[in-house]
Amino acid sequence: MVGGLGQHVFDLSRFMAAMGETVHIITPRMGNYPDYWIENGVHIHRVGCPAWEGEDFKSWTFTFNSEAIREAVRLNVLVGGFDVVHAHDWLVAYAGRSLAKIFEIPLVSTIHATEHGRNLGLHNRMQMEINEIEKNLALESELVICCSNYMQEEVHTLFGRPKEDIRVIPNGVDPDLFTALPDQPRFNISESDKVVFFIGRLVPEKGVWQLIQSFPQVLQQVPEAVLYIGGRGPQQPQLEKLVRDLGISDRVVFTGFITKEDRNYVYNQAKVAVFPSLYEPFGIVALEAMATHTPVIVGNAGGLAEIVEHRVNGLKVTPGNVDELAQAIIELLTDDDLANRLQETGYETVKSVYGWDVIAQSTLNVYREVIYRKKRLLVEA
Amino acid sequence: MNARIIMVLHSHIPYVKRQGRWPFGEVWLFEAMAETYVPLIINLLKLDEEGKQTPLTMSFSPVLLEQLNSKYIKQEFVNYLKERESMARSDERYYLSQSDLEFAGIAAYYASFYRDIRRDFEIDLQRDIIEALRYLQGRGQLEIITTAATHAYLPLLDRSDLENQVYWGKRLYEQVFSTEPQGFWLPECGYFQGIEDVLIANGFKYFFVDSHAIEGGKPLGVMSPGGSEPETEVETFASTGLSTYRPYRVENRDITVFGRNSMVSQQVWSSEYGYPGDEDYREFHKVSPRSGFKYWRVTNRNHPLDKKQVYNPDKALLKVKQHAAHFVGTLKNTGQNAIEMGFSSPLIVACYDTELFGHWWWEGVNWLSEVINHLHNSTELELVLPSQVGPATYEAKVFESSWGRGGKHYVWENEETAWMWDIIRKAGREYQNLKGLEQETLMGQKAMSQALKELMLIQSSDWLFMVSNNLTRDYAMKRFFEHYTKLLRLTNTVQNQQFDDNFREWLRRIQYEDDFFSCL
Repeated sequence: MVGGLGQHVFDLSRFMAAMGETVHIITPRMGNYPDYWIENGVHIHRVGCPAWEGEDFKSWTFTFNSEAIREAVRLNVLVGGFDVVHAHDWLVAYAGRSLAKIFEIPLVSTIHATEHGRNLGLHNRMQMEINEIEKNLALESELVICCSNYMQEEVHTLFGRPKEDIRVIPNGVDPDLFTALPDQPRFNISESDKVVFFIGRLVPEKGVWQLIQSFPQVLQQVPEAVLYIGGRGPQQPQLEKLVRDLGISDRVVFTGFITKEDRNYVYNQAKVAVFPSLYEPFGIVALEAMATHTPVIVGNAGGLAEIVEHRVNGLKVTPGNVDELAQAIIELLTDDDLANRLQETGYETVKSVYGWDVIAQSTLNVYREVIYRKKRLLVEA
Repeated sequence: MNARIIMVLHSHIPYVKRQGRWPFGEVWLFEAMAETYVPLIINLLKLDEEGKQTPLTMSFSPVLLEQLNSKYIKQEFVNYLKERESMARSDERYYLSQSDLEFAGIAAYYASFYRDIRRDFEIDLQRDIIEALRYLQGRGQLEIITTAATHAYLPLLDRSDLENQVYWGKRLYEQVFSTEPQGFWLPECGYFQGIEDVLIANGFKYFFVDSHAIEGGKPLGVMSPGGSEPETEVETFASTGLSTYRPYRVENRDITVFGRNSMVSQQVWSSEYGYPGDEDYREFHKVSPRSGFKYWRVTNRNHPLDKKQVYNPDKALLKVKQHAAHFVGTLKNTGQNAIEMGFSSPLIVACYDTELFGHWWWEGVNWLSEVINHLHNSTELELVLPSQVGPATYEAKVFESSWGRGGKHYVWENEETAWMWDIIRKAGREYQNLKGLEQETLMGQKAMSQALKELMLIQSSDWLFMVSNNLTRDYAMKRFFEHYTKLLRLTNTVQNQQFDDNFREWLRRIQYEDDFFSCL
């Protein structure tokens, strides 16, 4: 379990385990975590070297695949045979494919994002190789799961997999994870501050550049506004320079790495959360903000566009349009009625559509379907 | 008689039987059979019938022999030939309907090619390529040697894995040809000091290395056509003053080593001035999207694919005659030079991949026949077999080397493939750990012998080559991981002695899937 992907796999698994299923996760070793652990009913096995993003990432990945295979072969006997193997993203494509083939069990894969989408095209050998691996994973899986209609379309057009074989199951959000607060908040937010919050990786596709560019306009109308930028990423130095160049350093805070508790604290204080992404396969952050009763503004792109219904549970702006973004922020900072209405409907959306119980159940249905299909195929053969 | 020539053709296709058909998998084997093996053998049989001497040295990888011997492959090959023929006919009709007589003519040419190959295979060869090889070997027209069981790149293997590859390479040969192989082809000419001991222990009398392994200097590093060429560090080997014009005894060992002659190898291999790049020969890389047939000629090696002109088979055949004469002239000059240097009866060793002729170089099989004809009539040159050369009187120390880019191991061991070597070595240990244990049950023995097959399939140099050159990389990685997973399931089950019905059923299926080495 690495990063957001790891959290997703764990949440999905623990809700499945709660429904009485046996779930084993095989994931890279990490820090001081034990090699085998049962948490919330989920069996977590850690193998290989800790994950790292060194220059030899590809080698590390393939070696991890071989270690994961070894572990799965060992476990297969102990559990009396697995019924299905579920691969999340290209990182485990070869392990997933070989295990499915050798154990003659169905393979389900979740494609969370594509290399083509992440990089707005394929620009070097490594990206082309990853694209190829994703394609073969998508084509060889019995069924593919994507988190949004947008991603379904992307996987369909990029890899040629028919749409009926790509199931859309959104990512889930557990509102309980957003309640814990820090004993001593790291940030000193005063009553009068009107906090605008962004959180995410600082990479161009997230649209933080445009957010910062819109902020002088916001300050003109709402001088008490403060922009909190949570998270880290390669674009951070350029973003910090932009803030200095615009002369708004005193109204913008880069939090760097932020703990869950501190994040919850900022959400608690925030008047509005902004995710102006240019590319976004799903947009889990918007749901997280909704789970904290914060009204959201999102870029009308990818999965975000599907979660947010304009002026019902949030506001949508044209990706990359700085003026429109500024106007939306100003509106929410000044119109309390609108802000209240959006955050209430937003919270309802999270509960009814994106609850993990709903999502785990849909995923189990996919498993049942592929197991049934495979059996039928074997009988026919 | 002045100079003696050993011509070595090395034949290998990885194990693809029941491992995917098209675009990757069995079609590779069928193409090599249709374009190279069948026409080449038919030509050799004709020359034999005409009473001509054709002594060629050929190596066949055991995995290739097993596939050629397989009923399933024979049947599927016939189906493949029928499909190609009818596809060519459909192309012909299409071009006629477009009033494109030039293309229609080439389509018809392909249709008759595949029809003829099918007739040759079914009637002349009785579907049995191996029987024809046995016959030609019996007639003294061929000396067939063996190589590593699954064409592993030997210099980088652990000792026990290396021994397996050599031992089973020999055993399988004996099973097929009912005689002991005298020579061993080192896959990719991959050599390191110590490998000769494994060869000697298995009764081999000779092997081949690249020129720089004997002479030193700058390696040729010629690669099979089609490989991409990233920057490679080229090692320069110390000049030894030795020459490939004579065979050597490996220093302090009782085995002969032949060094490849760089000059005559380049003449055919070189992508810059080798014959296959001639403007009139068929272009390998441009393929009709309609049918997969190749309608164009090289035109100009440096032109992009959209600038290629239409192929003319008759014109190409004229070039074949010229190039065969030129090649024989080169051999004469080379021999003459060697004689002037003081070699009374110089040896010229020319080694090629068999599939170069016909598959890569469409006209290559005809060229080879022409060359053999010339040599048959020549008084200055004589084709000889390695076993006719007689004992080597001089000794040589051989450099660690290969015929790949850079002259050493780079093509198979580099930053792209380092992780594969880790797995190859782990797999070897996995197997070795269990090998010592006595398997009391028949099931245990079956599982262990299947494990050895999977282990050797993991070791095929082909996967490394494809990953390293980014050619059909996904297929290679898929196969690599699948054989590894099968091996682990086998060894894990043997370890636990849990041979349940599920496992029995599965083992039966993979024995069918990976069913080569029936002697194992």
